[in-house]
Amino acid sequence: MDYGVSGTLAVHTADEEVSMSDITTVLGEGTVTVEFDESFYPKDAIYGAAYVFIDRCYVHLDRAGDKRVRVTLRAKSGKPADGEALAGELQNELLGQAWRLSIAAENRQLIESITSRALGGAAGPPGLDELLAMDIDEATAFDDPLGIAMSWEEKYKKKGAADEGADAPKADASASSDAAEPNAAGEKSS
Amino acid sequence: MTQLISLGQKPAAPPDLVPIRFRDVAGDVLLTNPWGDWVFVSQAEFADLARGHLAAGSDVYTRLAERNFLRSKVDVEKVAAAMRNKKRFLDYGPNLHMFVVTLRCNETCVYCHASRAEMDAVHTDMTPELAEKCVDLALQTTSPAITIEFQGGEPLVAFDTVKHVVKYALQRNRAYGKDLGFTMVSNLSLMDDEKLKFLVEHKVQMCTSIDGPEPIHTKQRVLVGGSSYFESVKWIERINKAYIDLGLDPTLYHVEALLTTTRDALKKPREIVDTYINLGCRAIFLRPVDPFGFAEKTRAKIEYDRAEYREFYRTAVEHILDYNRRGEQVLERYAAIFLTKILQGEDPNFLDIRSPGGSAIGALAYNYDGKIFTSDEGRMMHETGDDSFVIGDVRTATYRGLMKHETVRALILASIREVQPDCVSCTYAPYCGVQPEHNHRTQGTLFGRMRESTLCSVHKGIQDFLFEKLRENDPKTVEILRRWTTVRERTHFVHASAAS
Amino acid sequence: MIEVRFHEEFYDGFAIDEAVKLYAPYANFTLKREAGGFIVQVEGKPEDQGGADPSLVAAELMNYALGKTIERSRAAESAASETASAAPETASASPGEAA
Repeated sequence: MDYGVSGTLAVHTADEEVSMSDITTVLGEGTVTVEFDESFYPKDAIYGAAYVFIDRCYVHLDRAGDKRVRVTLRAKSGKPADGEALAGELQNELLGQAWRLSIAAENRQLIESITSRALGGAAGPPGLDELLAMDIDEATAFDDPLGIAMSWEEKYKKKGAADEGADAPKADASASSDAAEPNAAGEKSS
Repeated sequence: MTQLISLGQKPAAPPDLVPIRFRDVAGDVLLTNPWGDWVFVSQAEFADLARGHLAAGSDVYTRLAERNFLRSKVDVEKVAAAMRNKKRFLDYGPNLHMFVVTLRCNETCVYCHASRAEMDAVHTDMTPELAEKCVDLALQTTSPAITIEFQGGEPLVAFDTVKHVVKYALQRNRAYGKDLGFTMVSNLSLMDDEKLKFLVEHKVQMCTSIDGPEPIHTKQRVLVGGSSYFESVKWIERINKAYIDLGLDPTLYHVEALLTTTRDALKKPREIVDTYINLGCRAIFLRPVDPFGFAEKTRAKIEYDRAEYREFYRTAVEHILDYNRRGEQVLERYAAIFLTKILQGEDPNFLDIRSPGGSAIGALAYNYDGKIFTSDEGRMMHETGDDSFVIGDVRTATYRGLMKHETVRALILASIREVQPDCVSCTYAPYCGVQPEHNHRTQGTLFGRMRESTLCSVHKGIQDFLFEKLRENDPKTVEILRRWTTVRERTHFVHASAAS
Repeated sequence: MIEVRFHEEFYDGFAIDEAVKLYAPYANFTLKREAGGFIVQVEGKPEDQGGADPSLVAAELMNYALGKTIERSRAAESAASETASAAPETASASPGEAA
């Protein structure tokens, strides 16, 4: 049976274990164990693929020898337990996750730029409501998340200079991330 | 799949060629570039390109140069401006705000269980207080235009809430000055003259469901004590007449109707088109059944192979094209969305077919109980026990808190085409979009596996069909397809901004 | 008694601790550290003390520990990228961009 990963993958029944190519699949009663070479799949891909099954199966990860990883899936009761299908889906998901990670790494700049534009455009700058919703007490009364109390020079020009003094980094932090600071207040209040 | 070409050497693209994606279409090879230009080359020309051969001044060289496929000929400023224009939807937050004013519904539909409650379930009505909070939150959006869409359930069941929202939103919007519009998705069977008067006077655009000819519609949408079809048709005609009485152009102002293509409907593509045209509809949206509104056990009864759907789609759109050739102006909505991107280089901002997708950053859904969702699909999944897409509650949420919610971030990342396996190398990537909620529902992962995705199958099938038509290049057909990309704004339905 | 082994390369110790605390009302647990991993022994509790089927508890604990491990690894990543995603927003709020 070809699951599109190893090309010559063999699936065997009833706890019989045979290693074919670089992937081994063992089908037991209600369980399936898939072993593979970890050099093909980064850990994040393994986690990502395992997580996809967590609502339908009990999932266990283990080491199966040098550079080999074992994923065991046991179908939860009441859920369909087609072992071969689970094994195939797991391998497809591993491949998809690994590929996605590599694409994401290659396109990181583009992704960050689109995501930032989308989030920035949708959220917009913090508004008065958000400031009013902030918890203001003695400790936070002099926080200036929008940089309102700062001079224009302080806010936009003096970033380097601000790093020098002992008190300056505090001002610089709010100046350089004036959108991030009010957000913390927003999340607290929601 | 492009056939294997015997190269006899390692492939090497001509140095001047920009990155391309390619696909066999009707015997030729379709090339697209990352910014959405497209061109057809023959198999022989493609083989030459793959060997690195491209003679300056040749026919293929000229075609590639004209379409921004050669680096030395690309007007970078122009391309950059066009790209920015296409993505301008990213500069604003959600403009569509769906209010589920009640889950109660007087019809029972085969494909809708999660989104309805029995008529005595008054606890599923949205209270006026909550409705006001929804309006207040919706008006916080950074979008200069917003549409409040009344949904259900059947929104006419909770008509007092609808009226309250309309009046309250108009009053509150005086401080915001947004272009404000209202739409209502209704089966129309609970309409009466008084409700109609209010809706017409307050410019609430009406949208209904027609699932095909009378026998199919009536079978799929059961109305106790009456015919769901004849009730809908009666009111479609009445509403359309009311627009005419106001002096509005009936080709632009009429009740919009939506199709849910079920297994029964698949057998009647031409009859469905005829039904819509006879009702005066000028836009037909051939939507396949979606997986959100029903439980797993129902799926087996109403789902179907998407190859059947693609066949249905081709037959129906050919039939629509025939109507157009005879002078009847009617379009298919899916085709219009893709063609606007393919032929005009514009993005019509259809939320499910854009990159990144429109969940939360393009639309929000507000449930009757005040829960806020990234989309209506997310809301329907909540009704089947999956709370993955709840991002807040109108009683406590702040607008920016919603937009910066970790689920929203995940949905954006999961719907950028350039991150998806398969999408990244798909010829149709410049025009397409993925819907993470659909992936989550059908495959258990936001990112999805496109080769197994029914939505991808539908999108690819439709674009294959459209590019085949463009390859045939029949002047009359191309003219019709171009006409489908002309957007005519329904300005009557916009309550113009009047910020004080 | 059921024994579940968690390899340290794949499971976060804090996640396992949290899982054990969460399921403590349903079974008795013994945690052991051994070379390369953690062992969790699960023993049944009487039903009248809230006990549940130990094999089911062990399986649910296993999933919870994995889910929590993944969440913790993702949380570390997103904390690292938080600053990057917030920065351009400052730019979009500037007058030039808004125009």
